[in-house]
Amino acid sequence: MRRIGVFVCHCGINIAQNVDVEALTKYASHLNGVVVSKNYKYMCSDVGANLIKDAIKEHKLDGVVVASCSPRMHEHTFRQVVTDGGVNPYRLEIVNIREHCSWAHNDRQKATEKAKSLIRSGVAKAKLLEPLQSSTIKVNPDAMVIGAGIAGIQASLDLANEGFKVYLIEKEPSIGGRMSQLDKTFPTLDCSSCILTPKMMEVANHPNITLHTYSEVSGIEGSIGNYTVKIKKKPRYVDLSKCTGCSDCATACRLKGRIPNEFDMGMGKRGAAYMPFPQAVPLKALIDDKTCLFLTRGKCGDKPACAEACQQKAINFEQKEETIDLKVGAIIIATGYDPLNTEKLYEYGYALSPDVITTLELERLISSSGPTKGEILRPSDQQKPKSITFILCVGSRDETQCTWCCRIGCMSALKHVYLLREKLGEDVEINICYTDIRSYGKGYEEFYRKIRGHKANMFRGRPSEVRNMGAYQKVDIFDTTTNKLFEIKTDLIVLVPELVPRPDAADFARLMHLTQSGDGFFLEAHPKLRPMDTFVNGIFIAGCCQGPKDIQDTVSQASGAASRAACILSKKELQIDPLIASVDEEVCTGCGLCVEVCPYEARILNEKTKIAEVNGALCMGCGACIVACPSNASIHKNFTKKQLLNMIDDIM
Amino acid sequence: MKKYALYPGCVIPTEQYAYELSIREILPLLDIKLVDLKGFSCCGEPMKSVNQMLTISLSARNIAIAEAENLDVFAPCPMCHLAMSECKRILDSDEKTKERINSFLADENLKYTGKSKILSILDILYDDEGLKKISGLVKKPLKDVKIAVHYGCHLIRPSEIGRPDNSENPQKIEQILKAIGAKPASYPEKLDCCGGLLTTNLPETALTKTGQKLQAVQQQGFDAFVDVCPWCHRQYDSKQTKAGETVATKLEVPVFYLTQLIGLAFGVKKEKLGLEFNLSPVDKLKID
Amino acid sequence: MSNEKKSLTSTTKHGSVLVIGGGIAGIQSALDLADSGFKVYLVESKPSIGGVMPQLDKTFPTNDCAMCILAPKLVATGRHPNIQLVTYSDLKKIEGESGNFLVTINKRARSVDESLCNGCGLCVENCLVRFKPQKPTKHDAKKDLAKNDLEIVDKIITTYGKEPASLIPVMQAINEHYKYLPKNILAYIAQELEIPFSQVYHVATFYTSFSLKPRGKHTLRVCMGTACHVRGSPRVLDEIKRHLKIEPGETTEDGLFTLETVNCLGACALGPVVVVDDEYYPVSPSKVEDFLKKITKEDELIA
Repeated sequence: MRRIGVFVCHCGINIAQNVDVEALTKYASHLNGVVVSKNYKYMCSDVGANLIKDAIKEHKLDGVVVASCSPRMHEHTFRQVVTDGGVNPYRLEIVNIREHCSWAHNDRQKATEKAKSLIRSGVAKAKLLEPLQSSTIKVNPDAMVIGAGIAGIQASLDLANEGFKVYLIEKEPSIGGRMSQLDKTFPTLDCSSCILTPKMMEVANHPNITLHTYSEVSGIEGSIGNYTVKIKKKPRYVDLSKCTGCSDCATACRLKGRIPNEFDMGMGKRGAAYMPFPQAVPLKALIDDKTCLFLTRGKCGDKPACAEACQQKAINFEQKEETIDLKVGAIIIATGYDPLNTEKLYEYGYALSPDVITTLELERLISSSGPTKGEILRPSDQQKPKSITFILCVGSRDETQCTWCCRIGCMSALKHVYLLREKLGEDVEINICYTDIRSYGKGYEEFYRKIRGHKANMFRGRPSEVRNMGAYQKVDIFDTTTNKLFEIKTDLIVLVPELVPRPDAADFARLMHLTQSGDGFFLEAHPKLRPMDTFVNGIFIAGCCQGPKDIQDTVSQASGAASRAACILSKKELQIDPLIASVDEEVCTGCGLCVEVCPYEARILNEKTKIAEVNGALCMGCGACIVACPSNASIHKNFTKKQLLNMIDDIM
Repeated sequence: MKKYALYPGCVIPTEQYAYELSIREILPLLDIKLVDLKGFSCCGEPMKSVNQMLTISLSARNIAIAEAENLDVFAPCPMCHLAMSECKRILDSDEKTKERINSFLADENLKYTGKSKILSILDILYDDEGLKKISGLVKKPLKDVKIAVHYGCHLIRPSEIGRPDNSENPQKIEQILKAIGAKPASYPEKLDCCGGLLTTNLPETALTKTGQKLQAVQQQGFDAFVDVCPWCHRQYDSKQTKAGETVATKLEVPVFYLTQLIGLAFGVKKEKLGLEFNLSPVDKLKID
Repeated sequence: MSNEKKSLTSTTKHGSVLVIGGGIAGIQSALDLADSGFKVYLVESKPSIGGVMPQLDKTFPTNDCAMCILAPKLVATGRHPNIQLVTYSDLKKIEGESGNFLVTINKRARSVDESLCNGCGLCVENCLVRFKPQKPTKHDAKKDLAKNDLEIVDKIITTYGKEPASLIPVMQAINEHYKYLPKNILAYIAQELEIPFSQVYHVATFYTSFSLKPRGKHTLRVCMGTACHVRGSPRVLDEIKRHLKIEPGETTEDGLFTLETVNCLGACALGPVVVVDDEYYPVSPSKVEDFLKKITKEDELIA
């Protein structure tokens, strides 16, 4: 005869307001198999925990039912409590009388009746629960960081400094990400390269970090503690061991100055053989196989110019794509963002005139290592602009485009006011068309006030149209602070665009089994409880791939993700949740349906025995194979048919 | 052979004859039969701001007349097209309003069911017939004629309900013009309103808006100006001289209906396209 | 920073960490460090960890109940084998350097043996000071009046009527009786007549015949009008000040005399004039001492 204890939580007023917890407690105490029934305000607190533990001892309980909030909140906590009390943690059943009852209904009497049914069925299941044992897996102490912008760099350094070996994978030929494209950063006006390049050097020289640039993730297998990641290394056609980064090949390339340079956001041009940028890490050349004459047509003059120029004989057109397998215990994803493509926003005229540019493009003009060597010149005629107009919130906070705020637009526009005044002096007129000035961070408000002294004309409104008049751009803006309509004739328009997920975010999410939130960025497991975790155990996210944010927040999140990863990597072994699928070997016919339906690739068909097997580390207990199995050989531990039918019987 | 009920509205049959003439000339060449139905009334658009129910009723009634003959409705005037499209959108999604409207229509034994489509001139020329067919019929291509295209407002807005072309970057008329050999070019003022609807309250302002656009078009060296809406055409063509006075400029811009230009390219005689009704200097354009 | 790759096991302790502050930031840091194998001392100056978050009802933007998402972390922190809670304590001194700190903590006395206390709450229920209000509640001004004062004031209020218009006559009556306007009585009047206290105060400070400080038994008013002035009233005033050791507006320590100056009493023939209560006296500067002796004696006789 089982001895079950029922513990009803008030959850403050969350449950107690709509459900009569006293009545429930009394009701439960009369159920068959229940020897004690108690209630308390916050069962998840220390007092509640002690209540349960004491009851276990006093009444010699061998099973516990907790009627409270969703098991997603506190199942883990209560399992610990029950274990401490001396009962097998899998002899715990959580009955959700909050999300499923109190929060869903208004009628107190009816809600209480429903809660009674729920508890009744919970007790029915609890009587049949098996005392499962969790198993352990060994943990690989190495880590992988995907994306080597400032988030990836910071996370790698934190982990490497703690003593873990880190594989840092970067898609572009150099690490550094968006931050390397910036000139100065707000609000301190630190030179971006000055604060980034030391970290880039540290990454390059760190004995615990192995850098794979110009590489992408092409496959992933395994589970927390034991991932095997396939990395596709794209061929640079340059022998890295010989290349000294002298740039002779780039200078010699026959296509020099003809191909829009991605690093300069198309504001500058490069050749097919090129150096990513002067401070690149690794400082090695590469050849773009989509444009290189030799690689696309088989012929580049008499001989390839780059190979001729290279004194180290580092050019190697025979290089092929390479795939390597890396085994790690935890993964941090820091793949960053893209600025919104403003071409399709016809009203802003981006596609119609070269004098309508975006903030990143302006950043490249301002940068002294950019295509104009830091001179601010109007793209159409290479003259100094006499008037520059910023339009904020392009594509942001917009029902028809993206609904979220980009968080950095206001501050970067203010930063640009400062930088432009520095470069162009008092002569240039600077206009800012804003929606709100969101200067929420530390030191931001102070920065805003300082910039207001730099004489920018601030218009509170969104222009409906940028009109390309050829010699100048025309903007009509209604300023809501003065209730006046202004017509601005300006030489250069700078659009401050929304930050959006990269175009391959959906594919990458599918590959890594990540969830995307409604805006397309990767979804965190819980915004407050687990902001760097994902729903896949062992994979973490940091930086703008989770959502737009400034550099300060990015770095904080990166360090946080490293800390989360370290929690796993510092353990020799991890416990596996035993609430997973299992196979009744006598009944299994080896049809293989379970293998096909499993979304986590946790099922295999043993070639020799022709019986299905479950990989405990991968199985997430979703139940798909239980339903698919035609022979009832697939069993979900502690969610067996008998247990569930008993629950249904007791509800009816 | 496609058949459509021709819904001419109010302005075309009473004033803007050229539009109807040119439509009736070129559509049969594209294998389209236009059916004239009795009993059509105003589409209701001018009353929209005063009494929305009346507007919807009037449009619904006209659609119901076409539905009774199992015909889709072709409304060359973009204002009528907007009125009826909006009516269709409301009635197709709101059962209660549809019932109410049908209770009015029942007096005439009419019923709105929603099975008829509402088509604009762009839907007929660009989507239904396709550019291939049009370029196949061209006998006298408008060789290198630099044309300024005016879409007007009712044809492309509001974007939320879906209009025949994109409201920020409409290109369909340009494509049709290219198919007949012309050279449409973009200009900054392309999406500006003609000002026509301001005429009752602010006649000077209305003419000024018209004049400013034509002035810009003239300054940028266009050979011709093309529109698809009788209200816009009235501003740009009939009132061109007056509009010029408001901007102190002698305006001499040839203004055509799109269908007139297509007709000319198809080799149709000038007289049949109602060109004598155009008050702007259309003779400036030489097409052989 | 060591350049060697360290091998890590879950039982190796690499050193300990002090986390100062037991709010959600401190709690999360402590948990992550403890999960990574470090020993953590979590120091919190309040008697419990949790910080501001348990004081919140719900959190934006998800509307999660704050306590619900915090409680498991509180419990996990409390029972983590690697975390030692040091609550009701402050940081006193930090010495040493990175990797080797010596921290001195001041642990305040709870007056409760933490090893024995099981949180049952019996002591809280039986505490005699238990009902001390945490927040100021609306105070009944009646409570601040002595019984006989209450009788007197109530009678006055009844006489003139319990309404705002009666304010000045009521105040005059009270001023008459007490010789000044006691603050607690003013507060009571404000409550009874339903006038904001600030307005009552405004009236009390406006008129010079009202005084907020206790007046002497007798009021000495020295006339400083033109006629008296030229006859030496400033010197009269000085002498009085010297003898009584008070300034105009003040009252003698024995509560006998309050000194005031007035501008013209219209008794110029008598000047310099000093009015004692309602009696007019001509007092020359040389006669001040005798004058004061005389009125003091008279008072004693009356008393």
